[in-house]
Amino acid sequence: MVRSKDESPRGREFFYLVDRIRADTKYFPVSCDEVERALRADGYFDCTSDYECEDEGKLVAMRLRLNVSAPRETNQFSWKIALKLHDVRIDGIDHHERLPLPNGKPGPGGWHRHEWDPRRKNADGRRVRIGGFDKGLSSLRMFLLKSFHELRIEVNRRDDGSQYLQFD
Amino acid sequence: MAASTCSSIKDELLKFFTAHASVVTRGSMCVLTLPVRTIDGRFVEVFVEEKLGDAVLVHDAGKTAGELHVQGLHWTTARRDLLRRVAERLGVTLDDRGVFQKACKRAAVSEAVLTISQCASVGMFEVVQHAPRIEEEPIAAQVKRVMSSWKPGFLDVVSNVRVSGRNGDHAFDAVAHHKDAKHRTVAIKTLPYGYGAHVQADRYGFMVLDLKVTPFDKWQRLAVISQVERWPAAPLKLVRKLSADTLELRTGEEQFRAPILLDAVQTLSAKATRKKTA
Repeated sequence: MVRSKDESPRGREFFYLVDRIRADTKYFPVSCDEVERALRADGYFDCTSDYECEDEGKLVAMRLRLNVSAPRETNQFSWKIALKLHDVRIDGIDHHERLPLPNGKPGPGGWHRHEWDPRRKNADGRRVRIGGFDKGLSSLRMFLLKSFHELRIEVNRRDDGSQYLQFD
Repeated sequence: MAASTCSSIKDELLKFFTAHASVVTRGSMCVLTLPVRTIDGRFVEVFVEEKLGDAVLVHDAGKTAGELHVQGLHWTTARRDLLRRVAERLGVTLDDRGVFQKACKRAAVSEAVLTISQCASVGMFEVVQHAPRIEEEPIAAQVKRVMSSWKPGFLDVVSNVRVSGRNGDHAFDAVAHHKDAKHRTVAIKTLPYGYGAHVQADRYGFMVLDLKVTPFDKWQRLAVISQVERWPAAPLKLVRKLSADTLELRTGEEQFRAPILLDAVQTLSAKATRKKTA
């Protein structure tokens, strides 16, 4: 067994790559069943994955985080999904009945995707309505499948059922 | 100020509220959107469900906690306790999944709606202090970077190696293939804590079992484990047992020095020779 000693951090900010990350396929080492089980048990799901891409001819790696929340599993309007870089939402889908108009007053809402705002360096405020969610969102699983497709997130096909294994 | 002016302000306020508050029916629920902005710029939504008799349940469907979660403020016990104290102060409850709620009679629904909206608004105060967290370079990337820049002469280093087991394919982050009979091949697998120790150990165990009676089982396995202090004893023991050696990194020590990794690989690759000569 070998133990390491601390060394100066080498963290880099990769927000300038967000457009590419959003457009690219991202893999997370988890199955749809595992996500669904976590949501039914706790209401929240959290998973990270290392993502690699080329930047000016060099391979760079960063950690992406996938967060899904469904505090009320039977209430689809509480379901949210977010892709994060540096713990900041860079992409995501959720629902609001009313969304702020440019003048700050409430306007029409619905299911929407969060767009990246390079000035604010987050995707919290810019929202674009998306189709395909208002109708046919019959289950939590359907929400996950549609969201993964929309956000270009790939998950494991095989369900390990790992959390049912007992080690002790 | 004249009483008539104050009265007209009240009228304006009611007019504004009437114009901009909305209510829609969603299945068995009413969803009210109030013209009250949260700190993160949304409008507060309150759900009202009819229950038995004259009772109603007023809640936020967990949207406050969910919004915190997707904005980078994860649903932790500490955060739940904090929001629970907010709820208690305002006379409502917060359940384990982060739903602000209040059961009341139909006649008291307006007051409950306003109280829940207040919780939903106050509950978002933490977003003002949320800042990006620039993580260190992922462990797997460090391993690949260190290994691919190493040219020891007696080993050929390859990154991202996929091998076939009896039931499926498996991946190693890097494999140092021996070039002569004095050395053995070393395969490096990183096990980041990110998705939980039990899952990682289980998958590692499955990989090792699946590679039994294949040529890849002869490779010396070096497991690189991150945030080792968070691993429970049992999965850690399993990984140690199934590996020729482990490189165990504590949180904050995840930027390891290259020589530590290279020493471990070198030691493992030379093991066969040592055994033979002993």
